[in-house]
Amino acid sequence: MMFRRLTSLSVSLFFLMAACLSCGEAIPDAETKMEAKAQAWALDDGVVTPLEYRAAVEKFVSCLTTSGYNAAIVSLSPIDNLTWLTHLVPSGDPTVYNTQVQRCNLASLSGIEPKYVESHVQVMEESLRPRVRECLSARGVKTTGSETNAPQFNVSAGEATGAVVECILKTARDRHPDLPPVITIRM
Amino acid sequence: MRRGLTVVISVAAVVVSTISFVAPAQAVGNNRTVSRGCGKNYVSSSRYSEGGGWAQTQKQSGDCKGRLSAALQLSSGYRTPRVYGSNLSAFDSTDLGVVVNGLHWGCDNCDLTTS
Repeated sequence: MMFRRLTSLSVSLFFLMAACLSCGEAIPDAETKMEAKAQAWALDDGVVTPLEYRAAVEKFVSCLTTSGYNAAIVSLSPIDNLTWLTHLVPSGDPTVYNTQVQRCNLASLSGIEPKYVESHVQVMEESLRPRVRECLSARGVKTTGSETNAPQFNVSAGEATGAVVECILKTARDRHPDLPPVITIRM
Repeated sequence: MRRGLTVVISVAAVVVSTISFVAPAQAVGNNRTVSRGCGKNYVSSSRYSEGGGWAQTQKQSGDCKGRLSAALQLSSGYRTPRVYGSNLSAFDSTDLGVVVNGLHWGCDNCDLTTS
């Protein structure tokens, strides 16, 4: 009887441990430590300046080009006036490319970019805002008329994220045809 | 007897939650709430009608530490760069290629969840 109870307990503990391993609290791993070390030059004082962020984007692009990939900085995003948009051209073996992009990301940008962008207020280019409203209205999504950035449009639209994203991207691309294929929006 | 039943039920519940956590990937748009030990996240993704698509990882509840991140898996095998957001939301979008899945992480070294 005692043995059966102990066995049941062991089984339940095993499953609990398995569940905790897959969904528990984050523990810094090798990649996270590497990222912290590589980006300490900009992160250690707790503030990322515009120049430091720009330098980090340049490091990211340089990391990829020296690895043989075609990459370039395009422009400051008209969607938030904070994020530097880059154009990366995938080539070669996808697994090798994906791994190298993530390596370069962790070595240069992954901590600095969110730290910079998340600590500033996004301001969407003024000419885009009425067009985003028109686009949303045509889809039956109401706005207040006072939104100045993507998160505010998302709140006004009642979290109709798909419509908000598509309208913002369509409007931005209509006004700026040279924007790269991959665009980061923070909402 | 009652204690034995309680153990069986708790094990069954953990097994179900573990199975749902590692459920095989489905097509883009498999939007759902994903539970972690410290809280819940909502993972969502969608394709654009003219190619490309988006993925979002959002905090839903709880007090999980660390930042969320998101990326997109394309049919070509390439992924968009992983975008690191805040502890509330991370978002990525591309016009490039055919999006197969949204890729979501609840923290830097959390397991990958697809949507």
